[in-house]
Amino acid sequence: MSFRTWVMKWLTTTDHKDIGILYIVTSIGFLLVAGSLALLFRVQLAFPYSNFLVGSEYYQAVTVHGLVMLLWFASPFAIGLANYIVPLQIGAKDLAFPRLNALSYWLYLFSGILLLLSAFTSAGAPDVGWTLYAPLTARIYTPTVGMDLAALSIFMLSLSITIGTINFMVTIAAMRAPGMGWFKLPMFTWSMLFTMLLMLWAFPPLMVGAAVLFIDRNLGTEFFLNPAGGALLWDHLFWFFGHPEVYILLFPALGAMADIITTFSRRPIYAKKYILTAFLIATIISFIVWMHHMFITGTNIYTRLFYSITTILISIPFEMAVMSFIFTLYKGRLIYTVPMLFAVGSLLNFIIGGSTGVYLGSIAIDRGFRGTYWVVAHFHYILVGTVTLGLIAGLYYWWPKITGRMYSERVGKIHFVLAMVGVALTFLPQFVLLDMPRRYFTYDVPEWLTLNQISTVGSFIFGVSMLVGLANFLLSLVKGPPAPSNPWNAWTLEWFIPSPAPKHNFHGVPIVREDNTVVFASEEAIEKYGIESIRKGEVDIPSTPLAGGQHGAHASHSTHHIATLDPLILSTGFFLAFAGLVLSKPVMYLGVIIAMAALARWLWKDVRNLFVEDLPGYVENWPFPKDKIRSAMWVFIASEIATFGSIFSVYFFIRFNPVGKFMSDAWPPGYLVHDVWLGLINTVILFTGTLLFTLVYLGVKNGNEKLSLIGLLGTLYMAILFLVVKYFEWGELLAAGLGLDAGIYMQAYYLTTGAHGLHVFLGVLATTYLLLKLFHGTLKGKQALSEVLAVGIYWGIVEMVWTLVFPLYYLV
Amino acid sequence: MDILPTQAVWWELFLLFTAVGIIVAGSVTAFFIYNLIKYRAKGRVDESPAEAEKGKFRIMVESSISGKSKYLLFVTGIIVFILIVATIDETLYLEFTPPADEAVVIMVIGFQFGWQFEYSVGGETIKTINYVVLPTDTLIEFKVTSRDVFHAFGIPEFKNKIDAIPGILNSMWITTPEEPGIVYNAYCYELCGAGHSLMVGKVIIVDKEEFFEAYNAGPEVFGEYVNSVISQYRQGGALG
Repeated sequence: MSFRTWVMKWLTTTDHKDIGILYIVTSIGFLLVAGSLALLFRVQLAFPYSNFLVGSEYYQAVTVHGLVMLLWFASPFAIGLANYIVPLQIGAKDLAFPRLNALSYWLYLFSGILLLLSAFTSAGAPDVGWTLYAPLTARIYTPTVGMDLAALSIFMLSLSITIGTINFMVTIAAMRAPGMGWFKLPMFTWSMLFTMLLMLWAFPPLMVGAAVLFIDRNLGTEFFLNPAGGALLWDHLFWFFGHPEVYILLFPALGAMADIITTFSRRPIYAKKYILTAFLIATIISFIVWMHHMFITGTNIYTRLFYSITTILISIPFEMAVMSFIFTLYKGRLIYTVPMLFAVGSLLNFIIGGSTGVYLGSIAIDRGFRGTYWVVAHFHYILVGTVTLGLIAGLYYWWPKITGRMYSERVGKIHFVLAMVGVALTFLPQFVLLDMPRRYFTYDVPEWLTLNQISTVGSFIFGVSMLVGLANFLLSLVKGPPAPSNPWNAWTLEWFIPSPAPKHNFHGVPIVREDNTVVFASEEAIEKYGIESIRKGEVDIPSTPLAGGQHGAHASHSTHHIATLDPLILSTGFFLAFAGLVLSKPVMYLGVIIAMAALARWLWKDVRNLFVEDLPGYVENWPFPKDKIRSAMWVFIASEIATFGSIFSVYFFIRFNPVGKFMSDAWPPGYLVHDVWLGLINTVILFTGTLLFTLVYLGVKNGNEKLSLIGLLGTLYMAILFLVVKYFEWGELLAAGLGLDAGIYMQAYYLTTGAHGLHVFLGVLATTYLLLKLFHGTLKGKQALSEVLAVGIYWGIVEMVWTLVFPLYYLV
Repeated sequence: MDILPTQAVWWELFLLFTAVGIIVAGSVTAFFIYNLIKYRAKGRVDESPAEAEKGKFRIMVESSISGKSKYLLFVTGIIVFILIVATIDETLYLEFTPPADEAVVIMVIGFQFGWQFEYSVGGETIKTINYVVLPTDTLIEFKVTSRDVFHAFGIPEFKNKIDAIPGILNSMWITTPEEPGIVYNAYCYELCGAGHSLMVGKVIIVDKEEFFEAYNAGPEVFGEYVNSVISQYRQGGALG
């Protein structure tokens, strides 16, 4: 392979395995950046009255360290592993939407570059802490363009995450191998499913928060500046994301640890159903604990007590999970390979990090601990000691499968010992620094000095351990011995295929039989006997010859992975548009043009039906529809509920905030401000459009193109009419002096109707796409029907949102 | 005064959590490490994938017996219940300022980068920046807010702290020690900008009788008194 084709392969790939590798490599790059920043500020703290890194620069390092570690390292690293492993574990040939998977990756990469770009602007990166507390982020307090870039990078990352979430959820729900029922799924896949559930609802508030922050800073609104919204509104939006985020990071690590502990104690995981129930309960409770980050904000004490109780209760499911892991070891035959060492090491750290977190569930104790190094020590024990080491365990465990080479056990053990010592030396002293305020770059309390110095030494030991690990992996790539297909004698599907996984993943169709044996059935065998009788074990067929062990593959059975530049170009367009929005207008227009061209090119291929988005008849999909596109739309709707939920909670928070009641621009009743009749007419227009869309469904279903045409044109006409009416309505309001400067009520109105209008516009695009398909003669058949249904569901949610907007803004 | 100091309440609860933590996490860890050592595979675990050779692969799905989990759930539930009850009690105690015969109310306004303290004496406001003078053995109520961004006001020794948020007035109380002459640091516990680390206020404890003598003598006398205590401290002199 020439260098040029090698580069093109990585730029155009949509293979889940390649994208997994891209994610892992990129996230390790971000780890090195953010880790180096941590070492810089540990140096500053090790010397009394040091001037090494102070003021804004210190806080830039702290802020970028936090944001990059959480959002651009830990989560994407797990997503990288999952990209490679989850389809293999469930017996799928790829993720549900390979091109969207590539888009997720490129959006992620460019969003990270966008954030790091801020460090090269004149005033540097944002220096407000990763929590981006309002109103410090407002333009009057932080006028730097770096802050704008950070807000946009978070927005862009949220897009990437949402697309990825949809992809994974549809894959796990409806692309499992025949016989791979829910309870047969390995723990890692299960944990990724819970992660995706959390991401689905945690990221929209962050996305809305970042967008509103950007609007505040650039259009003069004051959602996070006006005390009616202000600091507490940001707190609510941010921590509604922030706490589930902890479990978003934790679950993948726990899932990897569970698989590893099972394999290396030679026993099945103890009480799998208890663990899964525990994960489910933790997932649910994690959405009602966010106010424990706001225990001393002075909000209603009984509200806070509720959150205090839920926070302490959430320790129960995790305790159950930990105990199940430990019972798995009981009476096992424990083999201490490097992944096993990392897994038990991170479990040990989890016990320390978890039990020191229970303290913080008590409001009384939090009065002492809030903002101190105890908190820092607690969450680093989770995020470094547990999550990072747990994911490194996963990387070591799956390394032979991903690269086809073994690593050095001896160097790996040195890596492990240094990492454990590093974590302990860095963070145990910080528990003792329980009075020292976080984010102070200087201090004049002599007793804090030695502890800080030990911590700094520990952080460098941890840094060295990471370099040792990196060297181990690089050496393995160069001269590691070839890996057998199942070096650990593990019991999950990914180990039954050659290492590295062949291009087409499985030779034949993996079928999990009722006795849990797996057979790789050739297509001839499936045709001859049928899936059901093979699954029930009524016929005993041999696995296809290349299923296990050997390298190489028959080209005849490989699936065709699409090679396309569209995701890369589209993300580049987004990147240029976002960077240009802040830095240079011409670049922004260039970015918008590139993005629109890439999107058009992408959709034009779909108009011509170049790719078949269909599921084979035999997939395990209970209880979900055997329809990728429709399932994806339902998942998207779920995330839309969180998006609009966040926007409406901005409305309710500001409207019913007692602080706002004392202000001059208190909330007026909607009917005094808006033209109720105009709003009602628009409601009717939108409803009519959606009703007309049912004609499209009937037309496609019955092959009546004329009916489809009427439906599509009618929907388009009504949707555009809606936007035109909206345009004039806004124009009238602006002419009457009710613009963005007319107080927080009008700002909330423009935010909500603007977001809704944007969704109507996207609906117009989707409907136009269907219209093009109709003209091209491709709007027929099963796939077209699912697309029509998906767009129909979309119009449904657009309409439902309007039925909330109308009464909330126009009537009351 | 027979009001339990905030730090005493805090340490009591902290020690309860620590005791429970040591018993629970300690025994879990002990059992964990015991397993790690006891069940380590001795010698080579030679388990050739015999099944794979025959072209058969088996996935591991059965969850083995889970009986012990039920009892664990029960025990954990009781422990967590104890912690919740204990914390609700102490939380409510710290939340509301207890009634006291003599109490000093001080307004604290955070700003980039420092603390403004305000005494209200005889209808007038005495302001100090970054230094506050407090009497011994008295209940102090801080009314805390911010002039610009989000800060958090806390004095570590009293284990109490409250957010200083623009537009919101929060309150927090402490009881001062009986010995005069102690100087505490008051820190900002929320990142508030480039000078966050420099937001260190000094809390100077003076003799109660002296303090109230000046306090009751009207704003002018009290203002002079507070300033003299502060300048005395800044010159490194002994405190009256």
